[in-house]
Amino acid sequence: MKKAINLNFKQSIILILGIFVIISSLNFIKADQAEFYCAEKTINNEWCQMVPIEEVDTSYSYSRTSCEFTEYCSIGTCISVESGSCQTSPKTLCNPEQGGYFNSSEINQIEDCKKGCCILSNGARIVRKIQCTALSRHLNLVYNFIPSINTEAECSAQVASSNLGACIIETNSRRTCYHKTGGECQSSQGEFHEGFLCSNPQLGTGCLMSNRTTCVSGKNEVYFMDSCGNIANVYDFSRRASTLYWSYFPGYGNVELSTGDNLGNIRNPRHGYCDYTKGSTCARYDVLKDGLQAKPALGNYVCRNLNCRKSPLTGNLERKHGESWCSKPLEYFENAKPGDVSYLLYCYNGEVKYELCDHYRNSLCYEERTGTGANAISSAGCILNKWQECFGQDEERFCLGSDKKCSVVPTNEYPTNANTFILTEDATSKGITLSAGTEVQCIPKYPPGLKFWEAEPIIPSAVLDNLKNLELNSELSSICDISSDVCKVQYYRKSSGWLPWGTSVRCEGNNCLCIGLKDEDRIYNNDRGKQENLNNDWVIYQNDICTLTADCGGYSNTNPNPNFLDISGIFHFLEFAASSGRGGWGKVMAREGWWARRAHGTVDFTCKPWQPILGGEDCSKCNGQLFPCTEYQCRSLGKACQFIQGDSDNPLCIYIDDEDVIPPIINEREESLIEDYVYKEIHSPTSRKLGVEIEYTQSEDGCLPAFEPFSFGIELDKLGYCKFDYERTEDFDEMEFTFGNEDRNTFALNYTQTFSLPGVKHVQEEYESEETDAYEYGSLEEIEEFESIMELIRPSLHLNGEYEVYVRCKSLNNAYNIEEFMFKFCMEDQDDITPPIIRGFDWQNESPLAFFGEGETRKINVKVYINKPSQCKWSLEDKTYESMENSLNCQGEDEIFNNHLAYFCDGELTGLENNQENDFYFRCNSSFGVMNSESKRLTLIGTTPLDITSISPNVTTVKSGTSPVTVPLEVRTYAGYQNGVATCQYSSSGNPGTYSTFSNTNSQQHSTNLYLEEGSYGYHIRCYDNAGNSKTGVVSFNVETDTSPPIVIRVYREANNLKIITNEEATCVYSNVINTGCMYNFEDGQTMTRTSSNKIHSTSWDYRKIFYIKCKDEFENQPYGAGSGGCSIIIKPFEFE
Amino acid sequence: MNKFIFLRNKRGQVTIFIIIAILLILAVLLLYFLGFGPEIIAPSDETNPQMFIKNCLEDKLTDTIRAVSLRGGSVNPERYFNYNDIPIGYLCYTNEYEQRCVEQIPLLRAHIQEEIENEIQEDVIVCFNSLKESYESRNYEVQLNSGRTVVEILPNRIITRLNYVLTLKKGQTDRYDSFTIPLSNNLYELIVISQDIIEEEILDGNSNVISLMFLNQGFEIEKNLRDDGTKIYIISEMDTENKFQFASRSLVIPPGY
Repeated sequence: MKKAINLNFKQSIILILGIFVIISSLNFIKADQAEFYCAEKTINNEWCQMVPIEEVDTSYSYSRTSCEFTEYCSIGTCISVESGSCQTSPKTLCNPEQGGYFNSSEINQIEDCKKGCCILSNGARIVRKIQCTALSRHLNLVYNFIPSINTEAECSAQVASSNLGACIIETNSRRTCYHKTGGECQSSQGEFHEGFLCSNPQLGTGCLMSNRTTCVSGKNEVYFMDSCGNIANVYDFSRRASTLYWSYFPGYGNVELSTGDNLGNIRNPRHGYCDYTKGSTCARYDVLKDGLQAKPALGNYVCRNLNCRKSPLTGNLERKHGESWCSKPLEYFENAKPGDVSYLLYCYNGEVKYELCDHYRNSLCYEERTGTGANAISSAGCILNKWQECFGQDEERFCLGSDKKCSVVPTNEYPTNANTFILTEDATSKGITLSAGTEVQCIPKYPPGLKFWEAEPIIPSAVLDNLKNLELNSELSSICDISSDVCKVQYYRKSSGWLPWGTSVRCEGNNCLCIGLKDEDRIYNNDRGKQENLNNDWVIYQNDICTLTADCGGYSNTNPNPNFLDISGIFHFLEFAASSGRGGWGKVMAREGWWARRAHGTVDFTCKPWQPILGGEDCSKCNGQLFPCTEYQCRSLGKACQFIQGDSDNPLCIYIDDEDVIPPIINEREESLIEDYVYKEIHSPTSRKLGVEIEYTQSEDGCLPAFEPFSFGIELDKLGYCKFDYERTEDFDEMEFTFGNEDRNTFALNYTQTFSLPGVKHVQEEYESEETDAYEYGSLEEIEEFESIMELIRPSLHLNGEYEVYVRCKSLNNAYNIEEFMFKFCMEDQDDITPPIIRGFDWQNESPLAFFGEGETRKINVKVYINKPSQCKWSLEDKTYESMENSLNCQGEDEIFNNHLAYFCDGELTGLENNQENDFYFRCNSSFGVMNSESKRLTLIGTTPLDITSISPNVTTVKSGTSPVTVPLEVRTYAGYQNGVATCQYSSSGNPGTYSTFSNTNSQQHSTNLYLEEGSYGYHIRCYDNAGNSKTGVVSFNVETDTSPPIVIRVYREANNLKIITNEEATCVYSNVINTGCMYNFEDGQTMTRTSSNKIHSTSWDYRKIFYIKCKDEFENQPYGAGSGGCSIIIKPFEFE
Repeated sequence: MNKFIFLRNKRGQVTIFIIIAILLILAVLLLYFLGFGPEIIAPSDETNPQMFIKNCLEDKLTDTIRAVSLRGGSVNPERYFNYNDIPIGYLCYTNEYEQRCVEQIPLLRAHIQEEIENEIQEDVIVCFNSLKESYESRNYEVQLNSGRTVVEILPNRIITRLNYVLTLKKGQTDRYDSFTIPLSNNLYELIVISQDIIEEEILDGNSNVISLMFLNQGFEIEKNLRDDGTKIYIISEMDTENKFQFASRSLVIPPGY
């Protein structure tokens, strides 16, 4: 019988309530715990992240566990043999289709991923082993990898001085000489002289000493070049005429290198032994960068100084290349104010660069300076500021441990609820020495910054972990709250009862507000509720602790000497308004920074995040400093400061008043004007300023000179974005041009605009020429069209030379000025009396030229760009315009050159010489007869012929066991421009248009793979370098495939040996196991002895056994069924008996 | 009289012929100078299919390489940080605080190669179609077999191989088995340096750019720390315009509040 469960009413209610409570608590628990999933991919396209379920991309794997415990996101090493890379990566991203192979081990545990010294023929460096093999494959170079070498210095030393020498090649009764290694010379079939320079007179090569110097790619020094263009020894002026120095490489013939001044020969005009580690490297001499003193005594190259000059960024010290230092010493941040951040600076290649350690002082710069005097050098880095670990520390060894992240403050015997401990030995804190036995509490040594302007608190988990023992832990509203505290107060009054206004009370006991006061001292409670005569020491002390916690507490960061008690307007004095006696409580208020509540028996001090002053008058102080403004710095300058353009190169700290609908006020900017230009204000009849007129002070009528770039600008009273037009427009958007030549609509306070315009005479001349063409050569319709176009555009031609430029600017609030600001000017209406300016050429200065062969005309075409229509000439010598022998064609046409309109002349340059620098001098004469008084020089570099030193395959037949056969086609080039760096192509027919480029080219070695069937092949090779030198060659070879296994053509017995002869070179093995017969793997067989011809194979004669023999050739061709069956021959010796 | 008339007529005919001849000459001259004369066919790249394809695709290739280089290796990065109006892809990322980042594109070189291949594919088809049409218009018999586009990033160069087979027949037969476009660019080395940086970000949460620059002379590395803890790395090759930039977010300590 079922027993009914009967509940009375009370029990039912209890049950229902109980269920309700359970359900509620379940919900409470569920809502309280954050559920994070390891998502293979999130909806934000991030891989392997811990996210809530709503952010998971459910089309991929996910699970409610840490990523390290999942299969798809487990971390290992992704290896790519093709790329030569090893990367720590989650498994899911190591895609085999992209050539990735996943290894679950850590990167440093994988042999192929370990680093070592990779030696290639073009140098050595520390890389991973797999990268070394990839480099060798990609560069087509032989490599050697030494895993035991792990420093760059040791690795570089491995590169042997390589047995360089003079390689003499005789061609067509010419003896040409190059510096090569022995192997390279052999490939070129040259005559090699190890250690000799080509300029060694004994060799009779015709290569001589020269005064030319150059830099060499991959090396730091300045080198001499001989007259043949070969790189000789390091530039040393004192040995410029030394036959010995020009005869041998260092280490040969008693020639040793001199290191000059041993300090890198910075700007030394007489020595080229630059040293990168000492701050110098080879560079082409530039008077602006290197200075007059450094002008090389020979050639055009010098050891450039890579060190950094004194400046505010360098701390007004000269800094060495590679030196690093801090923007502020670490000690400064012991008393950091809101907005203070730490930068790491370093000198690299002559420039000072910087790196922000952290936006909120979670990382700070630490610097060490070693050496003395001129040898002193700083070394700095960003270190973590582990301030989180300081809170709640109650043991000295943890607080003042070796990592020095924390400091201590004495409790001063104030009552405190913070964790404290007693010092066992003396300690220094904030410059004060605390003796052993002092009770202290642990605080961060370098208080961190906060996002004090944000509402959402994020308290680092490390802080919460450390504070788990504190009662305050669960109630923290911010980091600052850690330094909140409570103390007891005890007042008594003469008589019991209420404490109305106007009565007095007395302090009693260990009362934090009364410390130092005697019991009998009176505290007056006046009729406005203010306390008088209280001792605020405890509150001040608490505020000090508060400010040392982080960006907390009440103080001003713009007042250099903040005094808590003197900061009026922010803090009030303590106010006491007692309202009742027993159980009564009083309230002590301050307006900002801290709030203290005094109750009967207790005073609460609450430490809150620091807040900046109201308003935004100081916002702009953040801009234009040595380092870009950050949001943290900007916000610290005022409550109304806003940070804009943060994710750009031009962040700004501004004060935006939302109610400000006034557009920027535009005024002319004096600093934008160049010398001899002035503004004159233009006013309306009612004296309202309309704009300015720009005048040229050197002309009588103030009109501007033609074709002379001039600039003018505007300044605004607030940030704006500005445009201009030549015509009046209805509104801002209609205006066509951005003021200041800016591409982006960034906001600024000032802008400068540059123009370069023709004069009246030039425009009229151009217009009249067009008019003449139209009327004289055009049809009636063309003339009509011309006239109608002219009617439209005549105003914009400015035939009278008068210009008006209208400007408008828009503020951040989108307010723009209705009335434009006007710039007015006129262009000169007179003959042009300024000389033309040669802006440039269509050749880059120091461009290489292809070698001119015998009988070839040595000339090239050139285009000269000038700023106005002119006639131009050139000469091989620097002389006056009239004396110059060669004229150019100048048609008065224009083109855009370097983003500016320019006129050009063209013509031919002749007299070019090979293997040397060719200087050409140009001068021009304007259409008004004004000539250049100085020449513009163009240097073009003659080169040597490009040479192909080897082509392979250099065998008659290429054989392979597969079809098609992979034939590597390889070429080596030499000389020409850049010592043989060239692009090579190949073609089977040699017909134009049929050439294909080598897969690996643009270097001195070139290679590509051909896949060919059996047959005879020939290829035409052509190579060319950047100077246009080219060289051709041919190669021919046969391709044979061998897909047949060797055949045993004879079997015989010789003495006690069984011998077989194969029809081709082979390796033979045998087995005697009858059960398996021929069904064994080749590797498991017993090897037969081979003779030197590799065709005769033998083993011991044994008539009792059967010999199951397999033979394979060099191409792995084996008998059919090889590996599991098939023999070349089965021999039964007993049949021979 | 008839003879005179005949003679007169004959002279008249000659005159007319002379006038007509002069007019004809003038007409030809006029046509020539006004551009209606026979077209002068200048040698063009279309006579060389290799050059044609190279010229047709070179700009697109260059632009694509520049775009992926500035965006962290992807044409359209999926997860990026916007800096200077450019979306810069994350190569290493964590959304958490106090955690080291997770590599997002471990096979970076292969990824970039694929991105370039995909981006230029349409242009490749268009260029080959143009090439085919240009030959067909000159009465060539053209056979074009399309193939794979393969981009290979190698030291100092980027090779684009188009495995198209073009056969041209007009009298003789010319066959072109593949087309190669080499570009001078050291993206290879920029990628290697980037991967070194990422490895340091994964292991240490940060990288030492000064050491890396000394190990890689000829390159400058800039590290730009953003407010949310993202670092923008910009690797530039000196004396060229080659640049590669990417974003990373690793071991970010939140500002306490």
